[in-house]
Amino acid sequence: MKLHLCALISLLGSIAASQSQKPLETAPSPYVPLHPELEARSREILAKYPLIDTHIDLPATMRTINRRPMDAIPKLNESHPGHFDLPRAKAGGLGGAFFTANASCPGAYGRDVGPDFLDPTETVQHVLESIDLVKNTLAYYPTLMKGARTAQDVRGAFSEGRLAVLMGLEGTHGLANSLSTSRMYAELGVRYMTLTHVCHSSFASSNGGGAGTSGSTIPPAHPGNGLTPWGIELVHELNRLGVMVDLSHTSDNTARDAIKASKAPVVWTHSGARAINNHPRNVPDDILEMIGDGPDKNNGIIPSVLFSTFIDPNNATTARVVDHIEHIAKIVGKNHVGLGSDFNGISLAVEGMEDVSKWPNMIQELLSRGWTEPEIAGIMGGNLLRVMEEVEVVKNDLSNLPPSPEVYYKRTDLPAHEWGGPNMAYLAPDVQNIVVQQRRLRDEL
Amino acid sequence: MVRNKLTPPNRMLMQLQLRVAAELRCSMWWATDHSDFSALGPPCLSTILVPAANVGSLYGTFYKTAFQQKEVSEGALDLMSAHPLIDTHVDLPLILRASAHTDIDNRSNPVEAAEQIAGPYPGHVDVPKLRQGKLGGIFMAVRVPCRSGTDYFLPSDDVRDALEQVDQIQLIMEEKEFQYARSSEDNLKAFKAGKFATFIGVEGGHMLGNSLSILCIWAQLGVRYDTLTHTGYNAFASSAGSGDPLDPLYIDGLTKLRLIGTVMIDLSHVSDETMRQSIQISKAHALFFHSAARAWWDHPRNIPDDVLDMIRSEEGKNNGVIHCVFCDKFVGLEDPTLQKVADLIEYIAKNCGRAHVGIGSDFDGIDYSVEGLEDATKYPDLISEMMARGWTDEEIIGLMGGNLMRVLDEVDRVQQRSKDQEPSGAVYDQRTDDNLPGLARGHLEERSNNLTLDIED
Repeated sequence: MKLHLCALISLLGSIAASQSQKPLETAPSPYVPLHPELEARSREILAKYPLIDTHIDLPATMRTINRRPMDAIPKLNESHPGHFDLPRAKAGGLGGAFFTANASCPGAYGRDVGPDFLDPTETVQHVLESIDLVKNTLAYYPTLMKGARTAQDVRGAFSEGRLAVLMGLEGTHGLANSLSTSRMYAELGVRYMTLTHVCHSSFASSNGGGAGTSGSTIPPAHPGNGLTPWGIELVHELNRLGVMVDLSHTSDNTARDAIKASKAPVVWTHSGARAINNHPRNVPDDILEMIGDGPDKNNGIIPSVLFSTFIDPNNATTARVVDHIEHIAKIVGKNHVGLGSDFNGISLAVEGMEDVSKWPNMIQELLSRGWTEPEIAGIMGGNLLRVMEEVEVVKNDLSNLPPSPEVYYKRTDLPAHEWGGPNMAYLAPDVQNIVVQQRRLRDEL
Repeated sequence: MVRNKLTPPNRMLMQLQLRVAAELRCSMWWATDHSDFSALGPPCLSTILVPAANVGSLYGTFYKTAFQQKEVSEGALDLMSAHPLIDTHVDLPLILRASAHTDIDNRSNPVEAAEQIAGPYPGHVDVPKLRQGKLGGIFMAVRVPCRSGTDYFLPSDDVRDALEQVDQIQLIMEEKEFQYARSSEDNLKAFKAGKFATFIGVEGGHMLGNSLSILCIWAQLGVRYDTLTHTGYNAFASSAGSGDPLDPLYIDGLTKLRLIGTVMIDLSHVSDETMRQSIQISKAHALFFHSAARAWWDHPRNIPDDVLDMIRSEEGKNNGVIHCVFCDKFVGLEDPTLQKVADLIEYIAKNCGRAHVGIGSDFDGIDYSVEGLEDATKYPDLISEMMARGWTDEEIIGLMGGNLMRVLDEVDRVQQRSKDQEPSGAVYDQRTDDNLPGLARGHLEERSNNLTLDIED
């Protein structure tokens, strides 16, 4: 209880401080080992195998409290508000992390995309700026961090003692209804795409109820409340690009549809088990049954989440997180679990895992429950790296496929008839001819 | 040189089109065009006349091509076989996006479009024409219309559409005729491999989404230049015809942006003031990728004399390059011919030096090119003409792209040297698109005002 109060006050204090232009200060809670007798062993394991956190919303935090987000970069190695900064990451033995290059659902900053998701927003700008922020952060700390795209990159970074940094996109609203943007983001280094955040997109349906809400789901936007056919096309394109499909936040039907459509292993970068705590952000057993070893299963992984509300509002502890993990592992196998925090994207993390410096506690809890070293190495990162390699294999298998030519059927801006300039002065005469004919056709339709 | 007997109908149509131009905030240059601007007749006239004129112009092109083939000198063809001609501005992506190609739904998609330019395709440019024209390198332009006028910080799909065009260009580059290039070395490699060296340019600062970060992203996606404005305003600068100075954001970017070496700034389309400030502040090379000279033909899109004076190979002057456009409206409506383009090139070369000119047609981004340079098959004619005027091989190699490559190499060297400079963190001060969700802010404000903290546990 006291811990919660301290964390709350420090969070409010730091927000208040930033608003009054005083230097940012944080009051991180001191590290207290969960199982002191296992602390040395836990640190040994952390030094030996990379622990890769599949979900940290660091760019969002940097952009939320800094008018000029890049000013935050030098502070990362001193102290930065939120759950993550470099000194704490080092203390916690973090080996790698996915930073999300996300943009909030447009509704969150006062934009309405309309029923067809077509109205313009600054979403793409936000995503691109977040990606650039990550790249500049990497450039600023060449000895402490290393950008990674493949499992090999991650292992390489770990062996050099540098934090392996990858990127994910949280929510396909960030694609602005285009498959071209998915190709461009993949090129820029995005390694997974979460099919929705807390809002629906033209591709997929969301479960809605994220942090800060009452937990109820949002009214459906698509028939069947799952993936749209357009979304299935996206999943295939992501398979072709070697980008992992992330199902956290998605509606149950979206998850089922995506697993059926995907030729590669899928992931949930920050979710728990609904059987342990009944919250829409957690995965129900019947969907867990679709994951695991075996010819008829998807070989993906389900990394954990550390948000009190999803884990258990009445028992928000590290032990309870492991209850989730063990329930999931009972169904999918210990080689299909992982560690995701959602740090910086949540308000209160569970007791014992208050910030990124506390990972030894998680390892101690696993040890106390009898997990073996190989199993722990697996959940820390081995399972994730295996999935990344399998996704790479699928990408190679699909390398003869052309890129997807699909265009969102509700778009009215393509072909871009109106782009010819005043009275089509930018278009050669034979092109003008075509445009005129097509316009006539379109009007007739 | 044989004149096209069917020219007069084309010319009349052109004049008519000028007068029927729609009034858009975007079309400032259009409104200040040299001819009388008065709206005459309903726009639908053009839908009748265009197809008719089309037939005429097609016949004319055939007639002239067939006759003129003999006139291109062997020397020109030899030179172009040994050295790449680079056209620094082609709007092929625009054409592909503006016209549908397949399927019942009449939607254009970039994947199929990329495949279709391997054969004859409407517009000034397609693979057969480029082969016949012996083109070596091409800068394809990413272009999105300016929509918002002075409200350029309202939400729009500009950045998304620009990403789609970069995707389009990359899909084109997967075709076997094209090969991506970003440096002079890449250019030569592609040329030796028998492929078109394909560079990417972005035409307009509005596609930067008012953000220097996004300029960096374009650089990472392989973009080599950005035309600071098209016909509208953006957070960085103002377009031709306006007298507006540079935004402080742009100045900050120019002086501190580490990537200024990686993405060259194209000053075509910008206002005079923007041109002057850019050259003075940045010390970077003044590059105009598709422009003409105002003393030559008085149009706001063309470069004023005092700016031309700044560019030459002298101490204290700018070592930039001016690439000549083929658009009849900028070259001179009185007599828009290949001769005039050659005259224009010589005019600029006389002022700045033959080491400071190049070729930037604006093919596929204009309706009419000049007579004699109707499409991409005609590059050899221009080279032939320059040779006939006594330009040496070395000078022509420079004109064909050597001058630009020289600048590119210098730009890359500068970028290497300033690699350790910190990138600019400047943010456009008029932005209101906070990343902090309004809901969250409201909630936090409530909580910080609340003296008694309600803690759930």
